[in-house]
Order: sequence, then C-alpha cells, then structure tokens
Amino acid sequence: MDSKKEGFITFQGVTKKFGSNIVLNNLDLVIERDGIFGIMGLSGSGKTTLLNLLVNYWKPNSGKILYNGVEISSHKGIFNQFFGFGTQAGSVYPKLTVAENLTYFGKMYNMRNKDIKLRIEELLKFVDLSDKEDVVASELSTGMYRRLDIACALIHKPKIIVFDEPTGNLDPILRKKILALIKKIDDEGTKVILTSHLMGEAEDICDQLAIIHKGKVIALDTPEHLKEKYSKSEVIKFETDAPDYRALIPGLRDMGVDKIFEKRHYVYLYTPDAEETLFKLIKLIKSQNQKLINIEVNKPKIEEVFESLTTK
Amino acid sequence: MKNKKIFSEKEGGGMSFLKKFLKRDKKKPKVEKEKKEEKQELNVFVGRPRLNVITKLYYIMAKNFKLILRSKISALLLLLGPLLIVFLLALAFNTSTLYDLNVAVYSESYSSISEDIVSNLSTSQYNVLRMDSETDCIDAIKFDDFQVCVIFPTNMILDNSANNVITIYVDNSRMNIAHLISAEISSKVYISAEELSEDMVSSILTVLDSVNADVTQSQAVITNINSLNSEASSSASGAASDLTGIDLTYSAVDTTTVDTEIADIAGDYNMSTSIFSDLSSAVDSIVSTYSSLSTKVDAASGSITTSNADLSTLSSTLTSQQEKITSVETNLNNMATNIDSIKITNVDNIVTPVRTSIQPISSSNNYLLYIIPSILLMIFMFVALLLSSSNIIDEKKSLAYFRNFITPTNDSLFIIGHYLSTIIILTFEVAITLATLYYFVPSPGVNAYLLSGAVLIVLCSLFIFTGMLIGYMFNTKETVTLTALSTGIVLLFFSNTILPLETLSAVTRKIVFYNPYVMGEGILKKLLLFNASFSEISMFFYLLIGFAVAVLIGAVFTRYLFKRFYSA
Repeated sequence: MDSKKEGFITFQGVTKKFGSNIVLNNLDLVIERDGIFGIMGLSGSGKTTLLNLLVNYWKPNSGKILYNGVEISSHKGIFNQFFGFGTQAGSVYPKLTVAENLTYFGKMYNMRNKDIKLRIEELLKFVDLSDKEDVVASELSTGMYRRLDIACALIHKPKIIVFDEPTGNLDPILRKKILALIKKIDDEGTKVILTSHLMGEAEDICDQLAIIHKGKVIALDTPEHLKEKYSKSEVIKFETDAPDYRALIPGLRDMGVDKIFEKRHYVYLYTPDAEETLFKLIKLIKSQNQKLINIEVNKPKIEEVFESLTTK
Repeated sequence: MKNKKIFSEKEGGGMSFLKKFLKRDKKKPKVEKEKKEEKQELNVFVGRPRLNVITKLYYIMAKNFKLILRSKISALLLLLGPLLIVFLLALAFNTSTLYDLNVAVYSESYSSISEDIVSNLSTSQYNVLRMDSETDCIDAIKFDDFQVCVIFPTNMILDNSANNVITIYVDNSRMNIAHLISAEISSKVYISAEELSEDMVSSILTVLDSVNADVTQSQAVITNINSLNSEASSSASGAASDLTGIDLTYSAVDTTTVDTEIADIAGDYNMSTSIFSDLSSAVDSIVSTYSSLSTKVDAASGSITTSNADLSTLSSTLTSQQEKITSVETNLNNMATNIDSIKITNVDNIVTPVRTSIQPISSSNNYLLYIIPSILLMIFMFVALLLSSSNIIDEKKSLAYFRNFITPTNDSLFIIGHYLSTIIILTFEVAITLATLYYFVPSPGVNAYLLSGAVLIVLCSLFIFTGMLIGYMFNTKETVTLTALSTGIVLLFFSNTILPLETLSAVTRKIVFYNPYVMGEGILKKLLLFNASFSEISMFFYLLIGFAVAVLIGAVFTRYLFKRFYSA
C-alpha cells in the first residue's frame, strides 16, 4: 500500500497502543471520497479503534490521520463537526425523548434552536420516526432506537458518518431497513464509513472494503476486485444421501482440488477448473453408490476471501 | 460514481474562525496545489460559531436533571429520602431525656434500702424488672432488651460491714450509650444513697452539737474552779506568810536580879527576908507562869512551823491542780475551738462536700441538636457521593458519553455541568432540611442555620468531586457504588460519630483530624451548638474549600486518564 498517496481520508503510519497492547500497528489506509467504505476484521483487530481515532476520540501514539491533507487532531474543534458516529448499542440517552436527545446533541454541536428544530423535523422524516418525537428513547423498539442513534449522528449534518457494526444484533428485517437507511445517507452525499463482521452485508453495501488484521490493513479494494484478486478458485458445494463423507474424501483429494472442507452436511471443494472437477465428482459419487441430493457451483464470497486472508 | 451533495452551513461567526484556521495552516510548508485543495474543501464547510458556554451548560444541566428525575425510584430516594430522614429524626430526637430504659435488678434479699432504690428507679422513666438470679440479670443485657443490670447486696444495710456495694452492669459494646446509661442509673442510685447519708450525718451533727454545748458549759465550771483554786492557793500562801511573821521568841526569866535586889533591900533595910517571902512567892509564881507560858509559846511555835509546812504543801498541791485544770481547760477550749472551726454544718454539704455542677457549654440540652451535625453530614455525604458517582457511571455506561466526547464541546463543560446539576439538587435538599430543622429547633438562630447551609454546600461540593473521582476511576456501577459507600463508611468510621476520636492513637488522631467529615462535624457543632461566628470557623471552612479543589483536580485528571487509556 502506498502510504504517500493522499485520499479523502488518509491514515499514515498510525499506531495506537493501550498499555503494551498494540491495537493498530503502523497502519496505512486511504479512503476515497465516494462510495460507502467498509472495514472488516476479526474481533479485536482494531476496527473500532480505527474509527475512534478517526473521530478524534483518541489520538494515535504515532502517525497521522489526514482529512484532505489536513491533520484531523490538529483542528479538533472544526473536525469534530465533520464527523457523525453511529454505534451498535445506540449512543443516546435512554431516559430522554427522541426530540430531547436530538436537541441536546444539536446543542453540543453548536446548533441554533431554529436550525435544530428544522433539522429534527427533517431527520425524523428521514429515519421514519416522525410520530415518535416525544417518546422516551428507552420505550422505542430496537430498530427505532438504532434509527434514533443514526439521527443523532446526523443532527449536525456531518460530512462523514461512521458506523460501528450498524446492524449488529438486529434481525434480518431490521438489518435490511438499517442498510437501506445507510444507503440513503450515502445517496444524500454524506461519506459513510462502516465496520461490519457480516461479510455478506459488507459486500452488498460497500463500494470499497478494507480488511484489517493484527493492526494492519491487509487488503483494500472493491468487493469484486478482492474476490478476483484473492480467490482464483470456484466453489463446488454438494450434498449426498450418505451419512458421512469419509468414503469420498480420498477420491476427492485425487481430483487436484485446492481445498476441501465439510460444513453443515455439505462438502465444499475449491477448484481452479470447476467443469473438470464436477465431471470427476459425479463419477466418484456414482462409484460409491451414493445419490447426489444437491450441488452448486459458485464464485467464492467475500467471507471466503476474508477467511483465506485472515487465516494465513 | 454516485451523485453527492456538499453540506454547507450558514455563514456567520464561523468565518472568522475559519480564517484563523486557514491562517494557522499557512505556517505549514505545503505545496501550492495541496493548499488550494484544502482551501476548496474547507470552503464548503464553514464551522458553526461556538455557542455561548452558558447555553451549553444549561442544556447539559437540563439533561442531567431529566436523567436524575426520570429515574423515579432514585429521584424519590435521593430527593425525599434525606428530607424524610431528617423529619423522622426531628420527631424522634426532639427531647432531652432517655426513654424506656429497661433495667434488670437483682438481690438475694431486698432490704428496705434496696427496695427504696428500686422504687426510685421504677418511678423514673425506667422499666424495672426483678430477676431471679445474678446470672439472669446479666444475661438480660446480653440476650434481651435490657440496657442495664443492677445487683444489690443481700440485705443491704448501712453499717460498718460494708454491705452496701451496688454493682451496675452495662453493655460496653454499646459504647455510645453505655456511659450515658450507667451515669443515669448511678445518679438515680446516688439520690437514694444521698438520702441515707443525710440521715446519718444529721444524727452525727446532733450529737456533735450536744457535745459542743456540754463543753461550753464545762469550760465555765472549770474556769470557776480554776479561779477558786487560785484564790485558795493565794490564801494559803498569805496564811503561811502571816504565820511566818508571828514572832514567838522570848528569853528566859532571870529571877537572880530580883533576888539580889531583895537581898540588898533587906540588907539595906535590915529587914527580914521573910518580909519578902510573899514577894518571892509572887516572883516564883510569875516565873512558874512564865515558864508555863513559854512552854505554850514553844508549842505554838511548833504548831506554826507545822502549819507553815502544811500550807506550803497545800499551796504546791493547789498549784499542781491548777496546772491540771488549766490543761483540762485548754483541752476543752481546743475542743470548743475545733467544734467551732467546723464551718460546714449543713447536712447536704457534709454528705456531698464537693458538688460537681456540670454545665453544658451549649444552651440547649436537646438530643436532636446534638445529633444534627453528624446526621446532616452523614446524609449529605452519602447522597453526594452516591448521586455524583452513580450519575458519572450511568453517563459512562450510557454510550452517549462517547458521543459527548466527539462533539465540539470542551470536556470541562461536562464536568462543570455535572457538578452544577448535582450541587443544585443538594442545595435544594440542604435548604429544605435546614428549614425543617429550624422549625423543630429554632434555638441556634437563622444566622447559624445560614452559615451551616454554606458549610454543607462546601462539604457537598467536596463529596460530589469525590464521587466524580470514583465514577471516573471505575467502570462498573457495582464497583462505583461499593467504592462510594466504602469511602463514606471510612470517613464516618474515623470520626466521632461511631467511636470517640480519643480512642484512636495519637498519630492516627492527628491524621483523622483532617478527615473532612470530622472537620465538617466540628464546624457544624460550633455553629449550631455554640453559635460560633464565621471568623471562628473560617480556617476550617477555607481548608474544606482547598480539599474540594484538590479532589476536583484529581477527578479531572482521572477523567483525562480514563479517556486516554480506556479501551471500550
């Protein structure tokens, strides 16, 4: 990665330590202005720390974080107004109403009463909480609570909004709603940077993905490019009527596949030549007197790329 | 590529800030192209003018109030709890007497004296119960609701057998009341003992009076005897002298001359001697009479000599007696003088020659006023510590804490806002509490209560900062609550409230003297009990302010460290 290159947001040799624990180690990262930017990594890989450094909550032990070439930590007062932060748990006061939370944070962002009033109206429509203005936050449903958190993050019209695991602990329907909202924010022109441990979700929503591992960015590109770059193989996923696949394994190994593993009654084969492998596989299953129940041939998903990169 | 809108804020005060911002950046060596890009980027986002600090503080405090008041149970406990406690205390302790002391008494055999003492106790405010044995009596304190056990000697009497020792058992573990109870019971027993002593001393005084009268009477008689004796001695001496003065000397009668003369005459006149026979006979008769008389004179002289000797003996005997009588007289005089020298003749004064009159230095003897300083401090110390620390930890745990940190609001505003919102609540509580107390005990006066209010607010500030320090230091509500409680308990324990400070070692006492609780209690006592003026408490008042500032600095530093090193 070229550390000299400057983007919309640039991390240059950023190191962050907590005691002797080095969370980010001389990390370089360039985030472009357009598109939703996703950061993926295992738990404890430093995703949240990276975001906290970006929003000026912490200062790096060494290195710089630049916004269009200007160091963020040197102009805290201004840059704090550039960022909004959406959290997984909802960074709002549960005992305040929706409007009170928004007003309070609006004031903390130096907004005037008139502006706050207009912005609240606009935001509540935007996050679909118009009828919940006077409801105490703790009485909101999980989805609404999360949407309130997003509204609080947007109250001051930030240039960049950062989401830390925005869909964590949500059911699939709510997750969809939140992701739609994030896309809407992106469409409105606010730069979105998010972390997620849900690879499929990140792949779907993000225009660019960075994979962080052991305090460093180990991959950065669009999801498609990442898949192409880091997985030349195709995946054959199949299921037979056999109680187990022990009899098939020696035959599968002889087929010249890259990787074989079994997961939830399915066998996964990573192969550079899917057609040839498929032909051999059907032959092998027949020879073992087994019946093929299900078979799929796919390009690998981003989570497989992630897995292959982080388990090296 | 997606279409983007660029956020643009209204221009205003932010422009000048932006200019400064850009001006500052010019100092950095940058290529022209970069500078242009930066300027272009920053031009589309104009920083909002900063809001007035007071406006922000208002919103922070309003938020804090809402958070406190919307937690109904804690609001009720925090706001009404202390008021309720004070109200109940005022109702309960607004007295100067100990009530309902349960007294166990035992004697193998009660005498009239012990019965009198027991009945004296029973007529007081005590509940007296006679126990069956000494063990039962002592066990009653250990295991039952008795505060004191009084053991009377068997057949208690007042004589020289010393069978008059009353033993009082109290539960010393109840240190705060043990001495009070024993003093109360001792005083009740003492009243009975005093009555008995008065009777005895009264009898002694009567006897002494009678003796004094007899001595005075005897003194007169002795003086009279002494005088008569002296006179007799003098008479004897006079008689002896008179007797000594009697001259009984005489010479023998010489008839030779007479006979010669007669012979001469007879010769001259030739007369016959017979003519002179009569004369000679007469001379002879005279001689005979003279002889007889001289014998008597000799006898008288002998008697005078004997009498003289007797008178001399009498005189010396009288002298000796006079000395003895004088000695008796002296003794009687001494007795009289000694009796007269007894100045205290009042029975009460002899029974209790030295009376201790314990005068309270405070004009009030109301228990409520005695406990007010400790109670007020205890309530406000715990409320301030718990309210402040729990607010901080609630804020930290609310996650909104994080959002506060990333807003363009100075951290110190949150600290000030937190302090102000807590101190406003506590000031309100202090005002209501003191007003309630003033209603029940107006004696210290309005000024004392106003000064006490000021002291309490300073103390509350100190404890709020301590609570904030604890809140910033730990990460779980349980730890924070426990630490806040422990801090309060430690301060309370090393004060006069539980154990007298005099029970501590000298070194510990010197340190404990600077315990804010001890200092605060001392100041409040001076104000409420002794009506001290501000100048008399000013040194401690300023010291407390100093402590508060020091703890505040500690709290701010801890918050800074927490933010810097805490990884969520």
